[in-house]
Amino acid sequence: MPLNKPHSPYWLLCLCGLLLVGCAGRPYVSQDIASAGFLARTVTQEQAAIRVSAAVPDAGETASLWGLSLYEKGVQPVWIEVENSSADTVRLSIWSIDSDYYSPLEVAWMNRGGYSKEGRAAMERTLYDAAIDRRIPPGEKRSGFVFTHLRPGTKGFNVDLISTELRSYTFTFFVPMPGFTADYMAVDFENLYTDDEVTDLNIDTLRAALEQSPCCATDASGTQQGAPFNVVMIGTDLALDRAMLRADWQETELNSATTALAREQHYRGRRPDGTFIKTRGDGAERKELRLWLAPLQVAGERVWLGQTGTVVIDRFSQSAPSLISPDIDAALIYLIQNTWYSQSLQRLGFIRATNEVSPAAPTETFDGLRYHTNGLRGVLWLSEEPVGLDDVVNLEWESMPRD
Amino acid sequence: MTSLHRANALNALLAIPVTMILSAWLMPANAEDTAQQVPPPNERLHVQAEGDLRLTSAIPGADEARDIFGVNLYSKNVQPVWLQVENLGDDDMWLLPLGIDAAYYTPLETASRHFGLERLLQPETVNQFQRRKMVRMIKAGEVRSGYIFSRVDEGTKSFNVDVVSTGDETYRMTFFIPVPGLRLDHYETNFDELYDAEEIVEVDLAGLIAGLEALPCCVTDAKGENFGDPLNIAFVGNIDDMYYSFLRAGWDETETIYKSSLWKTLKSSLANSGYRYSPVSALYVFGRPQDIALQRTRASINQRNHLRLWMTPMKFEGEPVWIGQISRDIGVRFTTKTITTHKIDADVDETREFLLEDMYYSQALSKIGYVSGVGAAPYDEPRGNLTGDPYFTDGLRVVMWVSSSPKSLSELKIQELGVWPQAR
Repeated sequence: MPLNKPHSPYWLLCLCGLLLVGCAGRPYVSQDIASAGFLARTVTQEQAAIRVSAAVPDAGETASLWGLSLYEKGVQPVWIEVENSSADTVRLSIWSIDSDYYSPLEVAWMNRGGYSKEGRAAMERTLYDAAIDRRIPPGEKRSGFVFTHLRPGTKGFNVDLISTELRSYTFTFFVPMPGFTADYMAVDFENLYTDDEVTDLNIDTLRAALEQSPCCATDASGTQQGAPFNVVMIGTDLALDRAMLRADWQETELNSATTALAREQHYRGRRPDGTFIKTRGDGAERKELRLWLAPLQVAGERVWLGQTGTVVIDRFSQSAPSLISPDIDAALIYLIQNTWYSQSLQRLGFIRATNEVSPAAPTETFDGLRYHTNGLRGVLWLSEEPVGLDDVVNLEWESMPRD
Repeated sequence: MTSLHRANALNALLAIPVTMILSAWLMPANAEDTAQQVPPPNERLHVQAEGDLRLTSAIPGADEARDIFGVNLYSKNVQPVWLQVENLGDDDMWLLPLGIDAAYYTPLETASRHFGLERLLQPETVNQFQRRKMVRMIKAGEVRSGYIFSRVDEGTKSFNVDVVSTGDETYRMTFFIPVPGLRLDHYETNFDELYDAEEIVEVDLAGLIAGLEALPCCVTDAKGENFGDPLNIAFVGNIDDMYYSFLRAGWDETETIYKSSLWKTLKSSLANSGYRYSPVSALYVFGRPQDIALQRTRASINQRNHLRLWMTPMKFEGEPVWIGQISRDIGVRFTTKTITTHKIDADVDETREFLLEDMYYSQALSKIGYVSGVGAAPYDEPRGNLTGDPYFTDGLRVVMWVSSSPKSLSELKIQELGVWPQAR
């Protein structure tokens, strides 16, 4: 009797064990990276003696690389290669590519289910070896992956390198992903204006030119007044791209529902050349920035007229209509600090764009936005290179707004 | 200003210390300026002064906030921070709310968390928040007060206040304001009394290298018998600059382990709700538990980094030298020793390098270098920490000099200390 009793559970256990091994104990198989198809989309840039290449596999390519559905877990690998022909060691800052990147063994942990012990160890080692080294000695080349957070659309990121010789390099990449067109990609910026139309300015003539530019956007017909241009951004294309990346703004897809409100606003008959959004981590509210290229240049740097606002979603409504906050100044102040803290702002000034509009008697736009403002337009001059918090220059035009 | 508001202001004024009444009394008397004063939420006022700037702050608890604003702000992740800025100088000053919380709320955003569009469009709805907000510009000689709407911090509300002046002065202050409900590590250590004067050693660069290399490889348990996580981070800097920099980089203080908080952690980890102040267990160096414990949350409680620091008896150019440990939690697993603990990333060098980058992107560092002292453990021959997690390492410690003024990436100096990591 005592001999019999343990038998049936024992055999049951064995059976379960066999079943588990049969379906869960798979070995690990990965693909050779050198032969992966996504490398055909590699983008390369060079600065001095440093050459950086980048490529991003899509969901399917990622799955076939490692046999792991990383996109489904919100992980997007970015392949980087750094070739250091300088005389000094350079150090890659992975933080610059994604400040919340996943470590290789963290990705392995997220995908640990279903492998045999050996299979899991092999998968961990593969991901560990696939990650890029931070240090690239002089005359050498390193390549590998950074595991970033998945974002829809063009994969934009900075690649910062510091050198032992007190020098830093910043590369900015926009790697197009199959199947996504951002709104600005549909604009032919080179042919928006003829050479005769573009006014060349210097720092002394800039203020007057900005003050003469229109106060506000219009409707499509150009007859009814829209929201004010409460911001001007000045910088090279690279400076603007980097500023948006450093401050964590997202591009928007051409004709997406998200930018329906923005597309009502027009400047010279054009809807925004580019609309960027920044969504809160803890809620549905978002900041929006709409930019139009103006026919102005300062020492070769482009000038953009913009509108920035806070979009609030009606959480109590089924159809979820959204509203731009009447307090458009608050959004401008946020944008200024955002570029300042993310080391992109080099000069800051304010000009008078409209008359003051009090909250008690708001102005209404053609599309029903009721706003109030102190009437100031922020002029944000952006830098390609990082600028310390203390080094931002006040242009000292209009005095800074009260709030 | 409604009569109701006036009555509140009077009550609050009666409850606050003499200095506050004096400063309120000294403020400009014209109508516009008086209208901008917003009374503090309670008597728990914290004051700091530097140069021409005098800052006072107070945080209303959940109930106090409800009494003031008429809605339960805390339930929607909104915590008002009351500030009073006294500009005693000749230049205008500009307050940067982003320094207090990188994701602060505008008054309308705050209102939108409680009311639908229909109510939002009625001016009095938003005005409830708008008229109590803190202005950004504080002109020469002025006193201004009001609220910034930040995300909720339980326990000690720790935040930086950044103020720039038109005279090119930058003021940086760090506040630690306890909000009833949670006990935190902060200020439980009296740093001045950690060492007797004769124990303090002032070291030069060679002495710093030798001193750091001579420190134990790893933390221990309370008895000092078993070795745990490697001590692979070191700082040179004073406590104020250290706290300022950690907060700027998004690190929170942590709660000491109590039964109730362990329960909160467990619940939060199961529900993935991101309880930001999950406690850390005590680890030991110099025979005592950590002097400072901080953490930086990522997507959920399972994805966060913990660091612990101990002040050493060394001083370099007058600044204390710190040694510490950092780990990246990548999940929760069950152990026999502590019931639940975090699964840490075995690649501790990767975590160390992450911290270095996190600190220099928050403009906190002036110099970096490396020393040995941990002892290498290769990938295939890992060592174990006190909870049985394996780790491998190149055996180096990163040394970070904390700057008292912000340094951009291109100003970061590499200090040669004799060794450099070869791989990662």
